[in-house]
Amino acid sequence: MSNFIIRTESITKQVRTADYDLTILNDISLQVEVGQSVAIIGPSGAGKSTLLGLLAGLDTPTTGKIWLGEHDITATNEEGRAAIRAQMVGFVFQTFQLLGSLTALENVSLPMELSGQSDARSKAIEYLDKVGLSNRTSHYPKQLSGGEQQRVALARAFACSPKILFADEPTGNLDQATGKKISDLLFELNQQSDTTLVLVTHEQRLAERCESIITIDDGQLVSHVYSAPSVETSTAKAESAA
Amino acid sequence: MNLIDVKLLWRDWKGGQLNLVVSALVLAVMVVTAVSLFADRVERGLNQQITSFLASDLTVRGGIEIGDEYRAKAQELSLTTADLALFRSMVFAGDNNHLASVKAVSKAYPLRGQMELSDNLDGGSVSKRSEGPAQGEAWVEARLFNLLDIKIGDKIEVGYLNLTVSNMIVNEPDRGTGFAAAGARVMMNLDDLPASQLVRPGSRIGYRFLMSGDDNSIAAYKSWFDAREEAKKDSSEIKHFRLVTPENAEEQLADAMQRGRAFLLLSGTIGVLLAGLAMALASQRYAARLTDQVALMKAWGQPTSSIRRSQFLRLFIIAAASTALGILFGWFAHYLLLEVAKGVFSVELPLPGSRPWIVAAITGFVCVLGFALPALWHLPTIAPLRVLRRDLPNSLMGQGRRLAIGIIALLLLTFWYSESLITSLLFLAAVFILFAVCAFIALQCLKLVQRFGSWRGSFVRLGLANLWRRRGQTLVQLVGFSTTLMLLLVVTGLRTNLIAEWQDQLPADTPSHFLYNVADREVDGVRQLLDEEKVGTTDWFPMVRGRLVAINGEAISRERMAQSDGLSREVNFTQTSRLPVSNVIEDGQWWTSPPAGLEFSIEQQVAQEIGVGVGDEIEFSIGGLKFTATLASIRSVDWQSMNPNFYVVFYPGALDRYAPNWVTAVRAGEILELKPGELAKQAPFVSRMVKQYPTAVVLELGDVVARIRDVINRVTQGLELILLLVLLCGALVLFAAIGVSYDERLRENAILRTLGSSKKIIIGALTIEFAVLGAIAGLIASVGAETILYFVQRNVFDMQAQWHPSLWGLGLMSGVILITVLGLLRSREIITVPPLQSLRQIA
Repeated sequence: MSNFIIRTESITKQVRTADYDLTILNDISLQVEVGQSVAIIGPSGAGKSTLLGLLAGLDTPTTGKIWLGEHDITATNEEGRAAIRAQMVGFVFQTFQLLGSLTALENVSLPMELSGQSDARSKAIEYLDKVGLSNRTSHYPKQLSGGEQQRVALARAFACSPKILFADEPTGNLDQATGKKISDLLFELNQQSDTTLVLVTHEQRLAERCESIITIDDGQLVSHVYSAPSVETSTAKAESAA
Repeated sequence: MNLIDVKLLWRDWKGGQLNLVVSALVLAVMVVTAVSLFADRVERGLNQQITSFLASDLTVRGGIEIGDEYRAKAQELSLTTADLALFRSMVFAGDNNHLASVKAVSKAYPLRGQMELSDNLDGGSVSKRSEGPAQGEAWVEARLFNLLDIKIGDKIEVGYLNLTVSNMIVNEPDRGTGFAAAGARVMMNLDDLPASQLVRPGSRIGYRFLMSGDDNSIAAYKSWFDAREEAKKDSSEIKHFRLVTPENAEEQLADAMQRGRAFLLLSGTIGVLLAGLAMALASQRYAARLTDQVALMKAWGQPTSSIRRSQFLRLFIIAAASTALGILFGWFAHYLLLEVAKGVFSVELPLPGSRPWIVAAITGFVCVLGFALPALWHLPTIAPLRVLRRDLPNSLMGQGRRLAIGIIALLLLTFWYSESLITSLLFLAAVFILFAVCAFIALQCLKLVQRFGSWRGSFVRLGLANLWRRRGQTLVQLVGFSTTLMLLLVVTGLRTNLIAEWQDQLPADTPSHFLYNVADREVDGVRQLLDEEKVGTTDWFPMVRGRLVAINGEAISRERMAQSDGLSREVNFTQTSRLPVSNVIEDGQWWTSPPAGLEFSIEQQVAQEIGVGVGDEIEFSIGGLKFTATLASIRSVDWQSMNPNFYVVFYPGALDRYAPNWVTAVRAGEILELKPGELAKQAPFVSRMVKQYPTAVVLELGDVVARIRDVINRVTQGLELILLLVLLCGALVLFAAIGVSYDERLRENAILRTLGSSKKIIIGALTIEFAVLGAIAGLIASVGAETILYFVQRNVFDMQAQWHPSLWGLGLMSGVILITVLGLLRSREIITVPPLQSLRQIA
């Protein structure tokens, strides 16, 4: 059994416009090991978020294959992908995506309640405590600051104990100091829970805290660099040139 | 059932996202429940009243003794039966006598309703009995005690029979209300009838065979009777017997009731329509709020099917809870309606049947399916990718399709309420045309207002610009509000203005009383009495009852008879050489000299219905005697004139041999602005008349007018109550429509305030916006109401149309005040929440 929790094989994503097919991602192959933290970086419009959406099974590639663990998520329908997401995946978003009508506690416990976990409430309290918000459990999102809202989102994501956590610009809406605190918390929780972390970011400093960095530009995989041993494993451009 | 769905629903409710959807639904169900409960109970009450009018469920009537086969069939169906015979006869007590209306009944009479009796003359201590008098006893009406100067225990003679008066009749169930119920009642046992020797060949006796029993047996008897009559139709056999059922006994009443129920429910439908509109708008906003939640759930791996299931479950809970609440409130509201209508019905209304509950429950669920579900339908199909790409289009069901579903839902409901596809289609078409006209006028008003606003300063311009910019929503609000307000104004106008105006327009010499049933030999005496009392009379008319039997030698068929009121029953004929007041000759000539043969004049509408023209020969039958006369002229008659009017008028001489009764109208005292009963005090001649001429009948027209006014008052007040509920639905539309643009308003006003606009300017702009909206709604409502009232005055009341400035004032004022207050109330958060918080809230 391979040690890769995410594998892609030559995935491309095209969308049809009025005049022609626009290629957003082109021939991307990569692997992510279990428990690894990976940053996807690149300029705006490079296709980072599209790649994240594909890896998380929120969308399907036009061609190519994606495996999450043992599951080929390109070989199944939306219902099948939903089941795999329910089993393996958690999310953190740039805009927090907290539900305005629910309190912090209800926001955190909701995904666990949906998956039928009986200890949803106690676990939610535990994780809110972990992110330092045990005194704000009954507050509604609009009563919380941006940083606090993202902390609730982190508690929500980790409380479900996902195998893979996808984070889309998790500090993008926060000031530098708050952003730093959130990323500290993110990595701390990631370490505690041994979750595989895939995050999309603009921030070099945040990316550098990950064990590997995938750079994409104009829909192409430019590099996948492991920061710890600092080994460049592939260069899509070189490969495609060959 | 998944508990998490209930939890999510509860959280949505707590978050205030469901308020409007639920209130609209509760209100719609409440209106329908109140209206249908009320209508159902009134209908049942009237049916019961009618059954007791008949003193039975079914009655066979005839001029000869009821045939054995009719009795045998009743026995076969195990129906309970009773017999009675009705005739007029002189009764004597000492030197006094009176032409009484005698009713000989079997012991089992009455089968439905009860006799109300008293054993003392004050009418105190009334006892109720479900049986007739014993043999040898007579029960008599109060006035007979005075007429014959007798008391309880005295003897009276009926034919050759002596009977002891044992009770005073306070009320009998099948007394009847028509003019025919003239002579004072004497009730005796049917078994005594032979001994009286009053029944002889040629005696005019009405026989009735009364039956009661369960619904199935009654229905079986009816169909047996109808089949028997149908079989006889082609034979030349004469029809001796007629079957009287509660339905045909009071057909008009039943018809009116059916129409009344449909009318009430249809006016309730406007409430449902507005509530539906509010629900659709509120659901759209609810759906927008749920979009993120659903996208997140899908990203977390919830399958589409479970989200759809959850959606249905939540909507089911919303529908069930709101319907239950609506039914509860409707139950209370129907008591208000009953309270208003109290006094119109003399019976205690029975409890409602199952239909109103079913109507209410189905209304609730159909509303959810027709108005809320289409706005939420797309939610489960939202792409999970939306959590990353918020700009993805959501597949909201097209407005056209949602409108179509809403209309189908309404059509289903109205069809079910009115039980007629044509009525419901016409009703919906009328409502939508009304809406379209209102929308068109509103749009023109908005254009005017916008032009006016462009050169006004600061907040006025801002407010007016808002109206124009959001004209879609503005139109929805205007249409919802103005139509409801219009109906309310019409009903209020009917109640407060029309009756008064109708009375004002009655000529000053409008009679105050009708005197009828005055016998030939009494006319001179009565004339003298009236002279002594200084009471002015109009013309005296002799009156004879008869019917038309053939036209130009051809017998009138049953089908043709059914087409005209004037043919299907006995009508009153008169004879006079002077054209009655307020009659106009439309064709032919009124007599200037005695005609050669028998001639008559006929009323225009009857002439049209039966298809006769001047020169036609018509055969008449009066008391079985037949004669033919030539149609000399056709008259139009002003039935509103409150003078004695007749369908058929002969030239004097034609009716001389038929012992007519006389009728006249007199004027004694004011009839305007009177409460029921007041007139009798003003007209002392009435008590002298009753004493001296006990068989004559005095009908007080003032009483009639006051009673009509009372009934109209109550009916319109009831309608106003319903329309107030409908207006509440209109308020919900206003709330929901503001809700659609709420976030936009919140953001705009936050930006305005951030840029330095004072709170005053923002409140000012909002006030202007809502006040102008209210003024336009009030204006449209007033124009519409005045137009409707114009037609009601001209066509229903046959009177000159008048302006109603008070209604215009009421319309404009209530429009402005209601909409401004409600609008500001709904927008208070926009004004009070600090701009930073507003911006963060919608970020």
